[in-house]
Amino acid sequence: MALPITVHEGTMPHRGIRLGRVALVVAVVLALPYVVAPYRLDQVTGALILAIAAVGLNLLSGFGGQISLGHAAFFGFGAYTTGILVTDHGWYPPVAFVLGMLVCFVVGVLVGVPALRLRGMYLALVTLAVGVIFPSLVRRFDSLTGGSAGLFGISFDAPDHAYFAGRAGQILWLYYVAVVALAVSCLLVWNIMRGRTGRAIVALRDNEPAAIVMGVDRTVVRTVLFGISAAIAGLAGGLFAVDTGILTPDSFSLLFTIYLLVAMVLGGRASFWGPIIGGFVIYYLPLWTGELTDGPAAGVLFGILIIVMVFTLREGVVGGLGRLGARVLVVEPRRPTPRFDLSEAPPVSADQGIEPAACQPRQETAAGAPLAD
Amino acid sequence: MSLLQIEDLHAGYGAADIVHGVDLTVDEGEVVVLLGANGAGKTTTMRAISGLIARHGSLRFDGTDISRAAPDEIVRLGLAQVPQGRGTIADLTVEENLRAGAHVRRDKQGIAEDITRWFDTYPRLAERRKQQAGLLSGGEQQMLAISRAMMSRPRLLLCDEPSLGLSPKLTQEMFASLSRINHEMRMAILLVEQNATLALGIADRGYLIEVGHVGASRSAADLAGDDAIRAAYLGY
Ligand SMILES: Nc1ncnc2c1ncn2[C@@H]1O[C@H](COP(=O)(O)OP(=O)(O)OP(=O)(O)O)[C@@H](O)[C@H]1O
Ligand SMILES: [Mg+2]
Repeated sequence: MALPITVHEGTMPHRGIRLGRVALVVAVVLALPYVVAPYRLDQVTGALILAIAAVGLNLLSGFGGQISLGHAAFFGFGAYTTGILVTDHGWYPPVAFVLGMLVCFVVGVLVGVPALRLRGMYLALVTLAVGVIFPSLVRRFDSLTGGSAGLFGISFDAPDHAYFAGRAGQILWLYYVAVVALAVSCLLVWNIMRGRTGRAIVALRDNEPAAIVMGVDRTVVRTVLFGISAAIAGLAGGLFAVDTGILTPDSFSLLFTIYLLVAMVLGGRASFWGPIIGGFVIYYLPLWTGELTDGPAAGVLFGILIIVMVFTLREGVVGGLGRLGARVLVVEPRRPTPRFDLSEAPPVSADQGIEPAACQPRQETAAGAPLAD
Repeated sequence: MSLLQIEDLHAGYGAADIVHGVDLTVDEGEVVVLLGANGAGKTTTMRAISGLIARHGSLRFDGTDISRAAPDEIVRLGLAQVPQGRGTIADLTVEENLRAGAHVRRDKQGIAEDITRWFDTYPRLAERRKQQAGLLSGGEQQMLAISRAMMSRPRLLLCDEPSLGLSPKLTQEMFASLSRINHEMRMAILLVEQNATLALGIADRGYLIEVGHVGASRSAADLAGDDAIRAAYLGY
């Protein structure tokens, strides 16, 4: 058969392909623990956690167009909230995750308020300040956080079941927890972006004055967006806490934020799969370069690979895959809906501001032929 | 009582007022044109009415004081704006742009009907419904801008240079289209336009704005016949 194959939107083959894609992802997720060694699965969990944080940053920066150099701080707030609640107060970790997300949401909204008035470089500087202050805060409140010495013994023990027995079982457990957390984060982002709020977010990013005259409440959208993005980063932080078991302020430096930014751009900003793929790339790339060479050479190789990827994949990995996919498969959009027939139109209520009679579709009036055809 | 009634409007961008002391009214179902040189403050006036920039003075829409209202409240009251430069949301599709225009509405069915209605009015938009709006031609983006503003089902449409960047033929079509919207839906329109001949052709009344001041209201025919305006804006 000649390529590309064309399928029509909404038809059975199209739905089949979409369903197949989801099924493939589910299959890979479920099969992975059986095909890779436990220490490899442990790495996958680490990459998943990075991916969650990148999903959060992508919501704010990719879809919302607002840069943040402070996401390491939100990741850290989530991590320390979980860490302190689990170790000092014996909280059940999932409850601690939720509280960590709430804390991050509030801090995110607070950072989002000054961000309302700021653009580009200025916003970068304000969020940078938040990111830089965080490790100092951890050191300053060392009675609570353990300071530079670290906070130890954070764990999320697997349920008492043969399936999760032993060290390998614990790794498997955390892997599933991370998968669920990533799925929840993605569903949250997807739900926001596919509807009315998502359109408002993109409108504010692309053309703020136009969005405002359409009735988008900039203050609410921008601050809540900041809060949700921070909360997702906080969830990733909570998982990081139970996954590594130990927290030190150095884990939440500016470098971590830079990694997230690179992950987002590499994967493909403002896409759903981009930050996930980017999170994996940014987790594994240093591991591989570290295996190939060591010392400073590994860092140089890592840097070069990043530059090459940015240049060859302008729209990120997802954009590149999309172009590749378009050679194989093209989805034809649905035809426009049938014309609106006046005789079947339900009456328009007066509070819509237009008289029912005035709400007719185009008629051939004295004004002449159809316009701008 | 006028639909829109503005008295002694002052507005600007911080430092000094650009617009100082504008009075104007738009009645139900009327087309009013605002003429003026580049930089006279036409766009600033439009932005002030929509609440995009800080302003003071008396602003009433359908009797409601909107001088302190937020932009989204003003849209809800029934005032929509086609901003200068089209205001396309480049990364949304054509259809999503229309849906975004209905941001303040919640009636799903009504929104769907209006989308069909505007696709019927501008079939070129219908053909490109799934296309990114940023990829539309200038004229198509202008059609989209008007349709998007109409998606909020306004009672007054503020149109800031809808002909910007259009060919003479498309400009004419654009004005015919605005005139039809005015007639069929009894839509009041406040129009800013450099092409004074065409604008006055569809307008009932007009104002001349000069360095932030606006003169008395005059009929469209009177403005078109004025020698000074002919020399300055009509070019013949
Ligand atoms: N965002 C802004 N910040 C500061 N000054 C501005 C801004 N926008 C416009 N101005 C100034 O305000 C004055 C009036 O501008 P405005 O856009 O209202 O003019 P206009 O009548 O719409 O002109 P045109 O016909 O060229 O669109 C100009 O001198 C302009 O330089
Ligand atoms: Mg202007």
